Amino acid sequence: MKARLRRMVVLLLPLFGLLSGCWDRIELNDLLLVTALALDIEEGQVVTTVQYLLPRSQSTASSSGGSSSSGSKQSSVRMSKGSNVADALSKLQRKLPRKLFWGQCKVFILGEELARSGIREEVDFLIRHPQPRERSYLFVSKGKAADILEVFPPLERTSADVLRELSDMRIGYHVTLQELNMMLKGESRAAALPFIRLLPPPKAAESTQTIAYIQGSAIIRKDRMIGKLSDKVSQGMLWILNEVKDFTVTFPIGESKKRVSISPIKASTRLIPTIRGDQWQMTIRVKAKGNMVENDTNWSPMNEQLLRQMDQAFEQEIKRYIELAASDVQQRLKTDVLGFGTAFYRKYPKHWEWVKNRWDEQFQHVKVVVEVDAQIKRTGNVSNPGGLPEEEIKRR
Amino acid sequence: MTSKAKPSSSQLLKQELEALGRQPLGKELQRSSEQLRQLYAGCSDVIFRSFMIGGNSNALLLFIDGLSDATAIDSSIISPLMKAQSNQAMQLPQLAEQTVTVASSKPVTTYAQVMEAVSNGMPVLLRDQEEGGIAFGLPRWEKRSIEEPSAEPGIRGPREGLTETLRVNTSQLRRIIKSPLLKIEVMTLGEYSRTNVALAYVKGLADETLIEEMKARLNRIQIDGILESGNIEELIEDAAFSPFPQLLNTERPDVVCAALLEGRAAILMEGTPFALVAPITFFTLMQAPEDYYQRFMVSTFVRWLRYVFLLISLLLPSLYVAVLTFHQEMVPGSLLISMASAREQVPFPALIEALMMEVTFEALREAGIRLPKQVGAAVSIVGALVIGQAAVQAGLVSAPMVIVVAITGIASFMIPRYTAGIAVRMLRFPLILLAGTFGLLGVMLGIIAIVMHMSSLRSFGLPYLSALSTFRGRELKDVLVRGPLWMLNERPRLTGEYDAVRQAPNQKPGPQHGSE
Repeated sequence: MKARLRRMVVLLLPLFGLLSGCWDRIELNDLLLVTALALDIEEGQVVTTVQYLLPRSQSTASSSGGSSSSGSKQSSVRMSKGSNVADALSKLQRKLPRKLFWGQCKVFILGEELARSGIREEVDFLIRHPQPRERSYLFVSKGKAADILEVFPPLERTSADVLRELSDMRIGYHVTLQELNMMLKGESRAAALPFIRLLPPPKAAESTQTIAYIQGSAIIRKDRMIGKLSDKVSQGMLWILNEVKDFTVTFPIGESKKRVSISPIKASTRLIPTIRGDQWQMTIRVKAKGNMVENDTNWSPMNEQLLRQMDQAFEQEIKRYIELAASDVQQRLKTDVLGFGTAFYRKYPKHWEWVKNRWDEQFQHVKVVVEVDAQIKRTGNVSNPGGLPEEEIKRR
Repeated sequence: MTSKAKPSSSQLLKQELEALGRQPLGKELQRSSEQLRQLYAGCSDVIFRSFMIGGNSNALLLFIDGLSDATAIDSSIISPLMKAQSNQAMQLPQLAEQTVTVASSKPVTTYAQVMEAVSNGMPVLLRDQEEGGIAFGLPRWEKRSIEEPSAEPGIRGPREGLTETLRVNTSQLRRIIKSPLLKIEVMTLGEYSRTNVALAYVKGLADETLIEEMKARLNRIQIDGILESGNIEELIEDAAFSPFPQLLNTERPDVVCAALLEGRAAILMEGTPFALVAPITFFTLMQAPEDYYQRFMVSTFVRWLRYVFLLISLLLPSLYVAVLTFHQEMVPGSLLISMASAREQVPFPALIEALMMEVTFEALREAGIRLPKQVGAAVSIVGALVIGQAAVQAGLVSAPMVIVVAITGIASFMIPRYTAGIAVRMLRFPLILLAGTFGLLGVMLGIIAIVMHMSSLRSFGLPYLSALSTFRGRELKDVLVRGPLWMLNERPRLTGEYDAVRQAPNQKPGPQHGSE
């Protein structure tokens, strides 16, 4: 009996394989590898533009050496219109012989016009769809988002790749789909997205041979873009958000106002909210350690006092960045993209209940105190200022 | 039905043979000689030599040409006996004691004993007017000399391999383990082949019940002939329906002896250089003899390399197919693009492509083994060209697939035991099919099924994944790593009673105290 049952199972098992028909099996050859999606708005309709890769057979790829300058473009662009993103994309699919595949799409670009008119619907589509990655990057572009996709960078395969690499390097600001969703759902209902624009092409190159780069950030309140932050203010915002990874701080020092450049090796920021009576205060405590990368002065950092002065100047510079960013965001944009709301909510959940509905207004009145503890840890390969004779070096 | 009612001629023959075998050798030489001549009628290699002992009594010497040492028979048996000054009263055993100069002899009383002695190369002497005869130990036949084991070569370690002759093999074991506690028990299997099979074990180290069990399983075999130890393996293993070997086969005496010293038992057989070792675990199959002769760090590294390549050999093609047809988002972007570019002109689905290539590879491997050496080289050249260069250029398969198949092929040869390697190679195919139909889920299910099956297996009572499944740290020292010899103080735990201590503790080498 047992043996018969076993034989039955063995005979039937392969049949299950045939019955299933391999539901979601799809060959790589039938996929359209989307690298980026740009969303624009035009006469009340959503315009979707996808940039996708053109898989070339190996022989041609190797003969052309993979360089885009030889005319073999590695990506292409298609667009279509619709009443919303899903509608536009379903219309787009009709024009493409292969199935749109979002699994490798790591860049979403929103046109400035679309961002100003509201992005909630678009965000909904992107986080609802199972294929796009939650860790893909979002950008707001100056002008039409589609234009960003229609350039062909001299380095990297596609312009989307360039944006992704730029974000991966953590020099500038970057926001993933997941983070945007969290920010929009969060206490302050505000978000900052990196703002990108096209870099003018080098003189010798064609007009399409260029890339987009990150310059400043776009501020979104509720779901609409309300303004921009300049590059410098964005940098200060990164300090507040504890996102500084690789950025060189240059500041003047001494009477000569010559400059010293420090590249942080370690920087961490803590937001410490306090409420005293009516006074809401946010203490921004920054700890930074840096490497000296350039010293234009004749000060020798080997002298402890001079080094301490340099440390202080470094601290002042960081403080200046942060204060600039805080005042710009508080006074001009009146939108909490700095995460103050979340910090207050976590520490004072009851107080938060009072101000929750008028936080945008309360935010302007939060007093910002910046405490910076910065140290220059290493001086690079030389200790004294380079290229100076011994007697000209200021040692005390 | 008919056979029960009326025995067939072959059964009659068998019964006759058995009946004759039970008969004792009679006093009359004339009669027994006739019986034997009838028995060996048509056997041109059986020689009956009649002569007179001391010129007064008839004697018959019976032996098989080519199995016994003819010159020694001449010089040590026939000529001394013919010249002997014998009186009729002297019995054959005393006569032999006095005159015959052969190292070993034993008395034979029945026809069955005569037959066994003769077919094992022992000439049998019968004398008129005397019951019983004497068999002399003069076997000598053409045999292969001891050579380097061709299926298990190594850089370091003994170069001797077992041969097709049982006595040579047992002597090799005895030369390594000289203690009288090494027992080698011989039994005869196969109705027609009457093959000598030896069960070797070290008394006191091997579990008594294990030896009992092995004897019982061996004695259960009722078969016409046994040609290779593979036949025995198939008849005594625990689970017949399993791709995994449950006995280790080896042609190296050092491997056999290492197993014996761990309390395992070995089955050696006349006619094949391959000995069987049991009980074993899967990890035994992943160990090469050289592991224990090289430095332990090197061995540990190589062992890990083997485990990694075991997984590659089992999983790489199926993972490739699964990822390519179901989980394209899992591949790093730039890698996916190169894969997509490579696959652009390939007309087949990844599943078909993988199966095609794997089957071709297996075919080439098999063809390479079976063909004569001169042709084998041609096959490998053609194979390399066909599955490597030409297929890619013709756009039939993609280059990444060729790489996957090639790596998998190499990986499967990393498994030191051929029988285990071929099991893994075979399991690859169901896994590829599962990957092509259910993706990673299918691969996962396949792995679970394989692991379940392996954990259910036993080799003579020893769980197949023992040491890892039971997770005994003491034994993992010789499974996950190859611990230094001075740390491997205990034998692996096999079945039943065992002597745990292998060697004295604290043997870590270093300068002697006071020698500084």
